[in-house]
Amino acid sequence: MHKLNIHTMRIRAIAITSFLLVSFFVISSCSTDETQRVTNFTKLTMFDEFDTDGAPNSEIWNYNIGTGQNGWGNNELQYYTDRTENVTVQNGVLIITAKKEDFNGSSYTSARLLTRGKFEQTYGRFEARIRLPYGKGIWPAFWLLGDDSGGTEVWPQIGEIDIMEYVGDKPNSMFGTVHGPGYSGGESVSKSFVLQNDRFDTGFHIFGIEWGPDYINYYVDDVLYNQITPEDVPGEWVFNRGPFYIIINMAVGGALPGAPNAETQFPQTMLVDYVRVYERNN
Amino acid sequence: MKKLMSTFKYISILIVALAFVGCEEDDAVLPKVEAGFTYTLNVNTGTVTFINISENANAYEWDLGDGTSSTLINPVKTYANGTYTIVLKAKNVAGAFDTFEDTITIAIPEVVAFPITFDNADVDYGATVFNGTAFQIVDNPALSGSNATASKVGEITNSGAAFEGVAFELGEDLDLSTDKSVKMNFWSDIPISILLKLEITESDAVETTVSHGGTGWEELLFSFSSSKSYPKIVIFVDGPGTTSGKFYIDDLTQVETPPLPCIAETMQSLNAADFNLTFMADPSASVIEDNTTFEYADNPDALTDANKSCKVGKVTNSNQNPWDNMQIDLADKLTFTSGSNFTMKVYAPQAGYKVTLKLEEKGNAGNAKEFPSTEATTKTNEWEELTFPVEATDSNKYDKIVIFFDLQTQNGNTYFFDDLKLNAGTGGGGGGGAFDDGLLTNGDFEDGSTAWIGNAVDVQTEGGNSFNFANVMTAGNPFDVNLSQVVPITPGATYALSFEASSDGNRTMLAGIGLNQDPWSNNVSEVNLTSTPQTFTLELKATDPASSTDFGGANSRVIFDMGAATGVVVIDNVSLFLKTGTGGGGGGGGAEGEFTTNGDFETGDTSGYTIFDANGGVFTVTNEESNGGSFSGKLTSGEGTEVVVKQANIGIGTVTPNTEVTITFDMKGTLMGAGGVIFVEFFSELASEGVSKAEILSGGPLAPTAEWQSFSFTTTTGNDVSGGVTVQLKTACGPVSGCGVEAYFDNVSVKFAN
Repeated sequence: MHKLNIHTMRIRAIAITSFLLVSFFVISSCSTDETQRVTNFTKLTMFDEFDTDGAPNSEIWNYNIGTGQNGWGNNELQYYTDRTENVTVQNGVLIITAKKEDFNGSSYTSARLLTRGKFEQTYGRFEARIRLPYGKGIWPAFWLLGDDSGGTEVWPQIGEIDIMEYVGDKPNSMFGTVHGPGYSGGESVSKSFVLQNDRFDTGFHIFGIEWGPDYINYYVDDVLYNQITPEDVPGEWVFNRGPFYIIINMAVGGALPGAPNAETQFPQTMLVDYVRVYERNN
Repeated sequence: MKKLMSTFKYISILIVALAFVGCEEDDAVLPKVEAGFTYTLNVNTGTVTFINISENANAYEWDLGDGTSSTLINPVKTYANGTYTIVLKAKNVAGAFDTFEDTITIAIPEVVAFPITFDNADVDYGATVFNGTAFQIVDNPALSGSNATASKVGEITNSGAAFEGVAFELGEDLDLSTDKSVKMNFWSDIPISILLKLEITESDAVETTVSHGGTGWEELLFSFSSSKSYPKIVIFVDGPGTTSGKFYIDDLTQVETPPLPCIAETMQSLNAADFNLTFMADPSASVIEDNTTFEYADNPDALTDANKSCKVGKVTNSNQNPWDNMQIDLADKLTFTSGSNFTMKVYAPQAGYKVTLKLEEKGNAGNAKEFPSTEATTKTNEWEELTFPVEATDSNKYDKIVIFFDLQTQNGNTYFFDDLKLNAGTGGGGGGGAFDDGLLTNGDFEDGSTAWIGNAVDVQTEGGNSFNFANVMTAGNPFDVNLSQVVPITPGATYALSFEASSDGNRTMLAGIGLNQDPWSNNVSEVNLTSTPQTFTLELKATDPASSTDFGGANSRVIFDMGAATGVVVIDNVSLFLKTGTGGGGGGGGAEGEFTTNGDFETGDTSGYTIFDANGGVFTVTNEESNGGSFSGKLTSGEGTEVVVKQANIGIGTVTPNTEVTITFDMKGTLMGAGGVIFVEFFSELASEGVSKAEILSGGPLAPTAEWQSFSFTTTTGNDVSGGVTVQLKTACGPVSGCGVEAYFDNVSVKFAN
């Protein structure tokens, strides 16, 4: 366990990775869309490598606890807690565990971490390296919500950028989405990405966006699979208006994935190797 | 993942290498195997769920560190306490492999369970603090007093807020079904009270407060009456108070509640008029041993209700004669009336003997008569009561009591005895027919001046009838010439005082009820006497009309004040009754199938209840609390006192033997300090004295709660209920400083079971 040593190595490794990815984009951009806008987001502004065993770093992460209103607006079945049983850090990864257990009136428990009020940023590259769970009714996500100015503004006006959503019964497919006024919920603007000859629940994959004025680029690992701009949304572009915060959660059940079935195995674990955020390096 | 990242450089090189060799033939160059795992741990069970995060591998060998292995992708393993090194070897199809190892320490916390010593490093004492208290485990800072051992103790630091404290969630419930006390060492350098609360939930809880003397380490005992099991204990230092400072606790153990100490005697008389040898004081000086040894002894069994008094007499026969005996000389001759008897409690290691009282005239042994007990004893090493009936014709003959244990049998046995008492008969002297004096004693003066006090006491007898005679020569204050009898009065209750009175002319006097102590509150009426005897019946409320305040208590009295006018006052046949409600009583009906009278106390007085409060407890009917209606019955006991209240001999003629009946009542209340109990008992009564069945409902003390709680018991009557049945409410405190019991009862009911 040489954590400090490893940590510094990682920083160096990040720089190399970024360079490789950027090189790829630069080269590929030539052969696809001449008007595509790419920015260098190389200055690290926030990162959590999850290298300290135990509870996640409280300087970065808050928790949503409970069932929210109507299952967080989606008829979700889980009760979110901050117990070790549902969220912990071990051997360099954040482990979010969904359990089937009777708890405060709910049949499942899980966890939902968010950086609201602790880390919020406008624009930049937001990425996380995640190994996803599997099974019908399992609905993990890595996403951003716009600051609600202390509650004076409400969703969807505040904007929502879903970097990664996934349902556990389609383990080779994920999707990235934006929600805003006139294009929220079922009307949101979304695109899915399918792995060829691989699954999201058998290994780690990097899910990220590069977000700048008037564009959001979506990528998985080193593949840019979508760009969303004001022309793509049927309403107001609410992504140039201020900082967003990060949410990582694993829901059980709800409108999108449906309820777990008899084949769904519990507990399910969502592993996060790191979360990193960059800004433009001017 | 560390491995992955730490070898990233090599991957980079590999990528570069691939780039260069990309155009060459594609041999089976497989991506590098990266071994790795993480895990979740259930700290309470030691179960580790491994999560394999190896990359580019398809086969795994786990060395689980305890001599076992696995080839599963994600094994699950339950470990015992210890530290284990787990090695994961991840392989690809070509046989290339990588390993990753990690150590896992399992320390399953031991549950907090009694005894709590704070000395076991493996125990998670898990104290939670609230309202400002801080708690930590430290070394005993003061090896002294009851805790002179060097060990870990709990340090409680109070911030000075009310109801601050520390709680322990027990891994193993504190089960009070047998042992009902918690003992702990507690250190304080100031006198302080400690409240110990046992909780199932915040409302389903019991608590006891104990005082600490402030002398450093002291051993405290918290006793409970509950029989439940409690998963949580809470300690409040200075309960509602706001004392700040450091205190220490240690060695919390569960113990049997020490037996309630005996109850001290409150009176004794060696006078002929009211002989009652209770052994409150040592009578040895008055005892003549005739081949026996008499000792003033401790009660060998003060735990049972049959005789809880502290001191008794102990007689050991010398095995000299079949008539070994002990004697007591009296100053005056014994007087009896019809129905008089002696009673005596006895206790011996053997049963089947009788006790014989021989009454004798001092210095004239020829004038004597033997009175054997009506029954032989039936119990060994248990108290039982014997009765010795005497005749009115035996009156005024004897002034010596001789006691033979097992007369006519020569032995060296030991006998304990207690409460040798002369009980006045109930039959009137010559007047014919028994006079019912209600709550009074000797209301017809047939027992002379017994029970009467005051400077006007002068009992005279004419034609077989006794009465009190006074002749006031000079008029003064009404109370200058007075006749009284002490009788307990319930504050605010209404009484009927009846008496016959006459004079030698026309005059007045005051009659009524009042306090026999300062402030002498009273409620009296003026009655007009003539030379013709009249019967007066006064309805009197125990409320002083001058101040409108209720008065009462044990030291109250019936009053006749005759000093304000001159002339003779003859008083006879005085009775005092609690006035029952005017409506209900009559037809013996009441609620359908209900045997109790005034079970809901809604008459607002104690009608229907027989009260035994001689030991200092108090029974009142009060509107402070009620569970339906306006009134409830309140039993209160303080240190060393008890009160018993009965719905006695109810259902005579209706209740049948060997029949299921249901006893229900509502109760709420509090126990303060240690040594307090609340009992409800049910008796099947014989027509004569005695019971065919007796039982303590619930089998033990009842736990009071702050809110009304309904109790229901269904039982079977005994095989003889010719005397009806009795439901008995009782509160008692041992002589424990700080003990207090307060119990409210309502809706007391006895019915046939459905």
